[in-house]
Amino acid sequence: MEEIAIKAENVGKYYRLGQINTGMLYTDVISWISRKTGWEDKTMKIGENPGDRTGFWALDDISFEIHQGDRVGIIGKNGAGKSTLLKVISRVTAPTKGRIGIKGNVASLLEVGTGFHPEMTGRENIYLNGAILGMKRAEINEKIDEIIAFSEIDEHIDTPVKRYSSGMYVRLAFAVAAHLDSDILIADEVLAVGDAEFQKRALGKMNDLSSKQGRTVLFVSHRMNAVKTLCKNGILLDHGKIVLQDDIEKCINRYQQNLYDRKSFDNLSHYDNEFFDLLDYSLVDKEGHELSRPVGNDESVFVRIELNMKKVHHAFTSGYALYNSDGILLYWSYLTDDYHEDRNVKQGINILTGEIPNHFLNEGEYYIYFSASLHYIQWLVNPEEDSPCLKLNIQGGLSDSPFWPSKRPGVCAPVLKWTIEYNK
Amino acid sequence: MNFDDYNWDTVIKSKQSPFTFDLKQITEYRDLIFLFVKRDIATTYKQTILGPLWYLFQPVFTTVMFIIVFRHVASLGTDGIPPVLFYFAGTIFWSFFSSLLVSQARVFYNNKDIFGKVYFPRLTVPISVIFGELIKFLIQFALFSIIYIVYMFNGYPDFFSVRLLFLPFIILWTVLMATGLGLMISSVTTKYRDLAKALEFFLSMFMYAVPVVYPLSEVSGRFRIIFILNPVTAVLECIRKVCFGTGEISLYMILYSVGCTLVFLIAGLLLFNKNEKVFVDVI
Repeated sequence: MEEIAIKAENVGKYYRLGQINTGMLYTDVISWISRKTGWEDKTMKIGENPGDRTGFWALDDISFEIHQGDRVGIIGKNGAGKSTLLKVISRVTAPTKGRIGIKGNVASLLEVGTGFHPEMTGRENIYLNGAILGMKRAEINEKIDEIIAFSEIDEHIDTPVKRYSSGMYVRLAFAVAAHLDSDILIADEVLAVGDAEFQKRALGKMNDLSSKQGRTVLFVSHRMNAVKTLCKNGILLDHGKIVLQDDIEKCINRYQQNLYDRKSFDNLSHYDNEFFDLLDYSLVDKEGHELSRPVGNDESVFVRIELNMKKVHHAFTSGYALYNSDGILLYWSYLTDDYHEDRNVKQGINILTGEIPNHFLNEGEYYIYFSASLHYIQWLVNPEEDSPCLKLNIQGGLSDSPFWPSKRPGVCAPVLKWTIEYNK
Repeated sequence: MNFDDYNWDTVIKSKQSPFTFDLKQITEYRDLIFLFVKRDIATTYKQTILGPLWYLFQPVFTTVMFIIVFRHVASLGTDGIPPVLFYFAGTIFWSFFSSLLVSQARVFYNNKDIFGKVYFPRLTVPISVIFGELIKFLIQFALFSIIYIVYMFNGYPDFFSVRLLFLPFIILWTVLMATGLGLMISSVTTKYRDLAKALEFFLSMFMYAVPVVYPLSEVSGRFRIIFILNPVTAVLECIRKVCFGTGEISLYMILYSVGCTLVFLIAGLLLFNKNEKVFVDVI
């Protein structure tokens, strides 16, 4: 039987909101008095319910085992509890309940370059950062040449890091981290920095560390490709709970399917509230026909929202959030972005149509979450929580150009204006 | 297998007794303590004209000011000690105490970025703060010693005595009192930041309520008891006793002040220990 490296039992992390911690003694006292007496709390924002202040479980009764040498990707939406889990395992913050046993020493990279001091030289910072991460001086002495070589800083190593470009800074920071000798490595989105070239190298190094040296790795990233390359196992989190612990492939599939499933709504009346009933939410083409087929990049698509407004509020707005299949939010779009005074919603039936322009999205699957809110006051339907979703599949039609027959790298695939002049 | 059957290297629990101090782990991180000290000293005076000479510049000019203001304008006595020595000793010990106290009180706030991202034994930071302040103090103390020896050979031969052997203990006493108080305050400043600012202001006022610029013998009447109840008074009077043979100090004052120091230190360490695990969520 493989040995267990990390075992978590019923781990929970509770965050209190506002209540105790508005940051000023005065408001803390007022808030405390109103809770005790049941009076209206003057420190609350408009639209805030007393219940909102109580808090939430960022991690909710989580138990798992990780074996030595496992490479585990932790995935989930924003706010699912991924980072909190890493923080608790790296002992940056204590859990509210439960316990975690760890075998071996842990190096956690929740950030690269922690503790770098701008006034100190690259070399001095290698020592400082290394020591913060738990390396002994002798260890760093042994590895310093390797670290400098990996960072490609060479002749600038004795210059204060405040003179470094951001790329040099990140390279140096990652070089230190990559040379940590630990049984367990915890990394949170550290690869999300630096240029593409560097990211590739960093990912390669991480792969090296984990697969060749048999280290246990816990890795959080939003980039599914990186997770897939690096990890064998996965943990899928949602709202602080473990949804699935399995092969990384299965976890990613489930995650992406989840993204879609939650949108395949059958009952729109679930989203009705005091301001409106959502009567229809669909994708239509230029002619207004509902779409159920993949669409070319050269075709415009329209998001159609039909609302029965029961109550009109000046701050009301509605729109959608568009995600790609990696779970990356591309943008939010609202009716009120393109503002005209006579274009507000009115009492009764309103049909809003938002265009997703042609020659804009790359090939692939996109998820379009419905959104409605009283702007800056409160969410009516939050696209990041419980919201109906539409799936859009873009295939082909990327460009008329013979140089562009298939999917391009990048999130978008816009066809942009170019001009050319000929000098005679 | 049950959780407890494993031979874990680390167990993370929601509640840990505030009395657990992992001293072994702290010694493993001594390189880090050394590097923190080096960082703090090396970076304070980068890109300055005088560099580390600032360490001497401050007490020298403060002494000159004190001589003019308190000796010549206000005509306060110095128990017959040469004013230069009297004020110099007062100012370096006071600034050692107060800047150590302020630095400890800001430990969490100043290090929130590191603490929020990496785990290492948090006590390494207050320990490195002590060493940093100590080095600064010792540089100033060296200058004091030179002046002291010059006076010793020029009309004050009785300065030299076995009492001087107590100096290291008085320095340790100062360190522990400032650290204990500072750590107590540090756990509150994570939540209310203005307390750290208030502390600096309060300390600059407090200097006049402690016999720094005058000896305790100059204080008479009903205020005297307040001075004696102030645990910092005993430290300063002890320094005068040890260095100059003057100073009003009784065994009771020493015992009382040392007692206060121990209470501050224990309370400070317990609060620090309790706070280090959750402050990341608060700050």
